[in-house]
Amino acid sequence: MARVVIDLLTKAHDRKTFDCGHPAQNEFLKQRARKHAELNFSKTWVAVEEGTSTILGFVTMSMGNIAFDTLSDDLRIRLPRYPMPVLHVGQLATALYFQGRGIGSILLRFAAEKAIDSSNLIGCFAIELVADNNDALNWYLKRGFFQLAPGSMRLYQSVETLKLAADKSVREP
Amino acid sequence: MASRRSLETARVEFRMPADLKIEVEEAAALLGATFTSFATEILIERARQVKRDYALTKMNDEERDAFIEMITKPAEPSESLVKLMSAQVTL
Repeated sequence: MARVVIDLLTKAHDRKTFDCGHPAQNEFLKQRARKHAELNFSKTWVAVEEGTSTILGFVTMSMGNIAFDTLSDDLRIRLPRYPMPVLHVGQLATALYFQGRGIGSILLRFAAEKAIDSSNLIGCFAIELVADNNDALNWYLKRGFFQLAPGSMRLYQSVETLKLAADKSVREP
Repeated sequence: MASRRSLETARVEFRMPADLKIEVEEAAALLGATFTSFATEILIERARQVKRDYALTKMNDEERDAFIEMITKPAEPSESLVKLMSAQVTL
């Protein structure tokens, strides 16, 4: 049984053959992911079988910020920080051949754990997920993330709730 | 970023539809600007906007209230979220 690990994307990974069924995400991985990482816009992490270069799936994360169209003084005083930093997940995809085996879930778990780490290290209030289509939206909804308004393609969960979930999963595995 | 601005210049060359070029020339003329200074200003303005807005989410009032509620009163995690936080895979 091969162990699946999550590594930072490097030149050594085989990006050319990756196909998740969505041209925009394939294109991101092939054309932009490494440039984005080089410029510190975002970092892309890939799920691979330990010791191999075939990309089973990938997740792209960056520091995000939440700002509001309007914000009263009353409300602003209640906010510890503004704009509010979040961990932004711009891309998450699994190769067609490996779908349905939980690759996406371990990538999402990885991102959620990084949001918790970020909150401990540098301050981070929530995780923000971008859904490219309705399938992705429903996939995230089923895993405990939610929209802040109907019809929104962005999903959220607070770091505090993620921490509670992580603690609970250790206590009752 | 004034500190990065140098006296050195670089050549930018690209083709665009002829009618659009005329429109840009007209707009530049309206402002008394040259094509080059007009295009440079617009390009850098847009480039900075794109970089500034990257991963910046602007929320309307409804989303704002829901976001602040989520942060200030964190919910108990659902069963599915607890399950996710122990997700593993072996091929």
